[in-house]
Amino acid sequence: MKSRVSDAERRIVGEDAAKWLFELCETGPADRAAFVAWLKESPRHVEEFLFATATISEVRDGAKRDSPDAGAADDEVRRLIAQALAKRTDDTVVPLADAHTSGGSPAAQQSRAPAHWGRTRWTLGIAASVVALALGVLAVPALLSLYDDRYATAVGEQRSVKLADGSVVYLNARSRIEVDYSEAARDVRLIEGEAIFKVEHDPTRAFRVRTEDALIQALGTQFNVYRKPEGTTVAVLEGTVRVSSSEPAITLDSIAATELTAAERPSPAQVNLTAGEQTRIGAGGIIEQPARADLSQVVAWRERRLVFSADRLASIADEFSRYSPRRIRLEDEIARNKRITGTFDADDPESLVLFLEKLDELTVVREGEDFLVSARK
Amino acid sequence: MGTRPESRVQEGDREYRGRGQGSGLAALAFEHFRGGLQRYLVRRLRNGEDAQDLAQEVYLRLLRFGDEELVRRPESYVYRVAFNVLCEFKLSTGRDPVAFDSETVARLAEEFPAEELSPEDAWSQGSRQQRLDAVLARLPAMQRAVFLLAVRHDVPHEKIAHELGVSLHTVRKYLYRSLHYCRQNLGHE
Repeated sequence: MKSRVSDAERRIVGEDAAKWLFELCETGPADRAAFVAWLKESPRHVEEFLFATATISEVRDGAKRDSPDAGAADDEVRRLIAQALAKRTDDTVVPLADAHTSGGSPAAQQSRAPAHWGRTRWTLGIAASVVALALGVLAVPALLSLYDDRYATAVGEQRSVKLADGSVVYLNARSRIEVDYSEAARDVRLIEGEAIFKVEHDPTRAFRVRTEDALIQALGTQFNVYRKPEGTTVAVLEGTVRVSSSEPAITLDSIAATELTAAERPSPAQVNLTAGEQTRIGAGGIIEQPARADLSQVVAWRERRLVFSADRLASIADEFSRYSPRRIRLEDEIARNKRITGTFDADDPESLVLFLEKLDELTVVREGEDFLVSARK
Repeated sequence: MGTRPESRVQEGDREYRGRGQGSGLAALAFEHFRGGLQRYLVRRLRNGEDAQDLAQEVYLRLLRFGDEELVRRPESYVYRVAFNVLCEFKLSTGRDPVAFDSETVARLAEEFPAEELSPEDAWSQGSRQQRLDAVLARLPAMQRAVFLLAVRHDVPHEKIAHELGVSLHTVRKYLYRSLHYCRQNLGHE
């Protein structure tokens, strides 16, 4: 189960959310930037902000019921103020009681308040209905993609999708899946990119993920599949999966028929992978020997971290392009083949560039939003 | 004859853009969640795990927007994204399998802002309002007055401070505290 946070932490986040909600209307760009930074800090902040919104909205709904017209609303305003002041032991400040006893007829007081408060509410109502209309419309593209059972993410976007059986797919940036559920099986095609599949246990219906190179079958487990042009990598986080190549051509017979060097060992038609193992299925349908996987590296993308160990800069630049529209363009072979080890913030190619600039053999030129990397002459 | 979705797009789009930027939007923003959408949101949020899923999804989608884009009208983005996610959630938890047809999409798009309540919704909203009233009644009188004046009656904070003879700082403190109190007592059941 998901861990719950402490009461103290919840109070801080809750009051922060309230603060933002009440004060956004009075803020300038700097404060709005701070609000955005706060939201991006944690899904919990988003949750509290949404909850604060829903609560406020409910409280306002109560006003419609309790005080349907301006007169009733003003009565409530006066009642609230009077009640609050009655409870005050501090008797040095009694502004409204003064107004009540000293000033004018009841009618005069009534007309003062509604003119101001009533108009405010009216303006809010008009603007709100316009926004509601616009929102209703904006939702339509999202609905379309859902009906299609195709899910895709854009550059930099990650999302989780809950499928009909309760299985969850976490889609990395620039990825695409197609879901095809039937009585007999739960089929998902990973057309592009990378995803973690958290499969709901169902012994009667296999969960199958296909890429161009591989077929991965599971009953109830969690695994990551990354489809790259040169092959598909499968890593298992939990449970067991069966991996086979999607090319039926590779059988022991056909392998035996050809001359093989020691390096080209016969590839098994299928391999069982258990938690902590990974394998790669190449374009020719060759399944590599399962190896230990660094699971924290495998799932780092969910935290939008990119982890590289002696990887070519060409593939690193490729990885960054899934998260950020800012291109890292490699101008020559030295730049493309430079190997880098490190952990980077996926949304911030600048962090990689700052690192590259420190290297003796490379030089970086900024061109608009892009970075041009080449060998230092 | 229902409204055609296309005409709604144009109309909505124009009006949406036509609104000024950064002018007291937050005060209006929560009005996005009216009618069916608000009830649905509250229902999802009341279930702790649903709330986390929803927030997580909204969060992940927000991350893909550039800061510059978000900063212009952050709360509008949050609500818009939440609205989209809610629509998807609502569809994916529907009892009947749904096949794509444009009429259903148009109908669903119109369903959320609708003001009419189904008997079931009316009951659950009624009982929720009762609970909300009970929670509000437990707030200290001053805190309750500040909260309701600001939230229900849109009285400016300065005016509340003046009328009740407290500082602006206190008004704000009471607001945040009250809202969190409601959240605690109405939240995850």
